[in-house]
Amino acid sequence: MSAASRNVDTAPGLSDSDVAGLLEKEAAAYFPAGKAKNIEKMSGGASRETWSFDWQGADGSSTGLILRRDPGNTGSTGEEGWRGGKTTYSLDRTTEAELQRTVYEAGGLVAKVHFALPEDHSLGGCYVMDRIEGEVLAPRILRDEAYAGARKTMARQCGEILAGLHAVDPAALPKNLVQMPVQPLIAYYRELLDGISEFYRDNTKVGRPEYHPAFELTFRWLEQNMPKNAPSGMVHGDFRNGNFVVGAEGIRAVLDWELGHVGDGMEDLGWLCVRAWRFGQHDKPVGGFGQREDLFAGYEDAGGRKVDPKVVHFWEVLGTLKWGIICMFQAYKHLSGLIDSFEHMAIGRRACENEIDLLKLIEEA
Amino acid sequence: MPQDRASAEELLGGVEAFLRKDVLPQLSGASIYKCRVAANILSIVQRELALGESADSAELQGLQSLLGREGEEGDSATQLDSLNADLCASIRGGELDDQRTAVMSHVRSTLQDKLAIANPRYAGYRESLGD
Repeated sequence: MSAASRNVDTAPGLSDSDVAGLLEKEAAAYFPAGKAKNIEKMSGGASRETWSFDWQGADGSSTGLILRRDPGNTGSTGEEGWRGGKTTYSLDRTTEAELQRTVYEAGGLVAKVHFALPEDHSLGGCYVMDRIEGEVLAPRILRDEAYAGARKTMARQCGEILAGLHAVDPAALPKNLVQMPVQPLIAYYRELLDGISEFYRDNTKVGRPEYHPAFELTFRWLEQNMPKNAPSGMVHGDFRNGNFVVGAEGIRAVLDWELGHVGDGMEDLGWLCVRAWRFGQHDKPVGGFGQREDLFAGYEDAGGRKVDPKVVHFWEVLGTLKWGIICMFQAYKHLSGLIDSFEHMAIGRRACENEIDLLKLIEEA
Repeated sequence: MPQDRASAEELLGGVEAFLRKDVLPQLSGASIYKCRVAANILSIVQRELALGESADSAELQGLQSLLGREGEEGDSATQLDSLNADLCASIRGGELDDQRTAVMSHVRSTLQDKLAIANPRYAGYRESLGD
């Protein structure tokens, strides 16, 4: 069997009209009398789907909503670990919805969740939340005149949002949220790098492993520069431009909570400063829109702990390493037959962009 | 024996130009992105054909002088793999901690050669060259 065809026959999934029908039925059971209108698939992919719709009540009211679901209700839990196509310790939809609710109740900038359905439901693991209007595409947020004002305040606002997030009472968090302090996180990416290289050596026609001395230098540097006594709390895990809904006044909501975990909050600050999120705006290290000083000041002024720039730098290094290894992983997904996408294959050639940046980052420190 | 013209680079260049000039303007939606990626891939392969061999031999020389050995006998891929395996294991084990400057300088120049093929416009690459 050609590896590239494997996923085609194991994950049947639902047709778009099946999803729309089931969604309408579930929404009718949850919301007061009314109808689902304008059901539209916004984005689809191997891992997650987003649907937009409106609930029009019999009383004339209308609510904009989003469905976030796993495509295919079989197969997703059959394969364990990264070899099954998961890059991470990702949360299932039920836990993600629960986490979003916790943050919402704590006053965080997140869409309100209305209802969630478990993985064995015919619609698959999914949840329905409010649709927050605004721009999500990072390059537009960074370039369009409409967001010029927002860009000036977003670094500070990110600090404020993160301070609130990191202060969420750990006792209120979903019970199965993963503990991911720095060491297991590093070990996770170590395993990913080695696993991909071994797969190439043993299972591909080329039959050669892949070597990344710059990643090795970085792993060594991380070992030697690990922050001591980091406090533990909630971490968003993918807090960056691209996961923000932005309006003229700034960030309106934070999306994509599936990498949420318990760890060192400085991880979120460092990740936001990784070069990949600057989309060419190199003089603005915070997400392509702002300066580190503003991010840190926003964080501290909103009650976050005193920021040690060295610790944030550590997490920026780890974030850049993660992104480089994820580039390898994208190519691996195609070369191992998990997906059929030549675009993913080409991303493997971008790992070296992160490596050259890493050399500079570990020299600066 | 060399193949007849057009050469591999010339063939790829022709297809790349076709994608960019003729195909791309006719596309819409997600295909635009895919077509750009396809054309970029062809330009990576052209650069690799032009620069790959000298990049490999520079990497091999750098590894040999850094590690003080020839590497496993065989073709250049075998030699490179054996020396890179040594380099990675030595960095990981801390054996090269006291030669950090030499290691960094070798790794940087290898990465510059990779980026000259993969993405010569990358800002981090231009910065590393001092542009």
